[in-house]
Amino acid sequence: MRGFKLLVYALLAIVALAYWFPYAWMVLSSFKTTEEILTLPIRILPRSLYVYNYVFLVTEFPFLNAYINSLVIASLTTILVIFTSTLAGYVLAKLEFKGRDVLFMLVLAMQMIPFFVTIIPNYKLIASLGLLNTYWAVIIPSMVSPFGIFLMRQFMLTIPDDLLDAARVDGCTELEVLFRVVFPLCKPAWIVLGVTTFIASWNDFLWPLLVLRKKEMYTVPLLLNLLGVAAGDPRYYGVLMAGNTLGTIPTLIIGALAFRRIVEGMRFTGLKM
Amino acid sequence: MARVAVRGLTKRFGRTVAVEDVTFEVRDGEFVVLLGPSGSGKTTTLKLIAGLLKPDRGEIWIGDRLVNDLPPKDRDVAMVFQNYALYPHMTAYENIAFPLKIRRLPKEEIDRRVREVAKLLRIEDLLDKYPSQLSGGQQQRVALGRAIVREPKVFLLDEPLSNLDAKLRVYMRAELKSLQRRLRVTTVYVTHDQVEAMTMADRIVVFNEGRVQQIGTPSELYNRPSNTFVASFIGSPPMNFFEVSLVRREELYLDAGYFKLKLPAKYGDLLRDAPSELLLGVRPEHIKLLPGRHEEAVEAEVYVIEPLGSETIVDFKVGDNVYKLKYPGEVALRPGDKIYLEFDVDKIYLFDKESGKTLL
Repeated sequence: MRGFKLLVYALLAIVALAYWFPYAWMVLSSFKTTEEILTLPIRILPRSLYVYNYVFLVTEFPFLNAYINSLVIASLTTILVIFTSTLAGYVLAKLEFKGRDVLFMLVLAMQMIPFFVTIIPNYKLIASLGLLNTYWAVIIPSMVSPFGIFLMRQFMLTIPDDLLDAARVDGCTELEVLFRVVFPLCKPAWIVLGVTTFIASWNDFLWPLLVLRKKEMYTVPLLLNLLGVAAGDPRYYGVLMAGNTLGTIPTLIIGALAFRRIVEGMRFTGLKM
Repeated sequence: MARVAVRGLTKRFGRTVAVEDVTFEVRDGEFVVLLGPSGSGKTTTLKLIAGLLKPDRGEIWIGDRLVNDLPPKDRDVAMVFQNYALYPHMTAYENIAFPLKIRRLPKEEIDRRVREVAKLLRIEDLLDKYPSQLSGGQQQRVALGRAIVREPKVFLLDEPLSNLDAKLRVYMRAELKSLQRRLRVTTVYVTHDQVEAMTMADRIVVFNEGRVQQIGTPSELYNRPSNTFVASFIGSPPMNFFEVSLVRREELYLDAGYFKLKLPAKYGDLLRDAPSELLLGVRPEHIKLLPGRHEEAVEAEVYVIEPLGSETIVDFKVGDNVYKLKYPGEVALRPGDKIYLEFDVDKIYLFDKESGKTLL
């Protein structure tokens, strides 16, 4: 039994190392000069804390600008997805009307449509609305999420109807039922949905690449792509690593803060991510 | 406080009729129990009174107001749900205060009233706890508190005791009843447990298949059930039924095949228009165990003995069917023993076999 446990830990350690080593390598490399990065035999730790890569990233590229763009887009998308999913989920789970289940099937069917099928029509739509090169070009197509609606509906089904009835008898209007009873109970589901949406939006590359053509509108992945192209030149290796390192910070923070609650939330919703 | 009147209430869900043409009245301060098996329409009726469902037909009056078109919040009723429906994200205090907060009462008054109710229900130490930290009985008190604190015109209680263990249920039964007596609030109480209904109610409305079967005090329902459904539902163990034919010769008697039962002559007039095929109803407590063979006794075989200490339920077989009798005290009988029984003819019931209506 003890030996088995040891084996499990050893295997887990190897897997953890396999995941963490490239990350650590990236972070450490961002503090190295180009010569250090290219030197053989490989040196793991930087000789000194060389910060010029970061200075270069911020001064020579619109990196801060891209960071703000990404934060605004990911945050707004997250808030809107939570908003639309919660309302739709509530309606689909708790209100009775003709055609409700057909409507829900349609929402699920939306999930089956591959992204690439929608690229051209969406692009034309956004272009005709004159929204190219604005935040809304990225936000609007993803502010309603079939997955989010599904998740919130499933979650709402776990809220007993009696709870809503109790609120009604206690004197709530329908809106008060929603705000005072349903929403406060949604927190675990919101955390799961919020984290997944924020990370997906933060990482999104293809769609922003299509609709954000001006450099000042670039998001972090787009800017990193630019750096990646520039990194054909070895002088930019360190800068690229610095950009990547900064790019992972928000998702790391969210992950660290929400990890526990995500696990709770997944148990709550019975869903796997 | 107010009376509640329900007239010709009908509610359908799709094609199923949940409640049909239900009419009854609850007097001011009265404790009325809606009793029936599950799916008989009693909870639907309660939700119709609360305004959580809309009736297809009929009228609901609370006080002197027709409330059909009022939303629940304007009906001034409070409801306790079977699973208590406490708000899980609020403490016991916040749960009780919630209806007052929604009505935007001043903070000091809310606090005063919540503490008063907590004292009444002896839950003062629980006010800071969340529902998940409370036991079933404690949750139940908080749910009651949330209903009482409003000082509503009407209490609606939907099987509030069914999730408690047997001991606590008996205790809470008495507590609830004395609470209702003290507060004198018009109360409509739903249950499927006839013991609960009999012990708590001023009057009982018996439901079956969406229709009212009988309305009356517990003793009226026990002594004068209007049909076989009420007769079998009220009383524990339930009434025994025998298929019999009525024979009118020089004497009046019932022929059950395995036994004959002589009826007193005074029943002759009452049964003049009765059909010949009847159902005989005898309550277990009205069957006497005779010490030995007797000419007019009913011969039976012991099937199972259920000792309860103060009394014994004897299950016996007549022909192929099993019936029950209640014997005060303990009996020295074993399954398979032959026994001789006497039915108390003054306390028997006769029902029309077709309609189930009570004839005697």
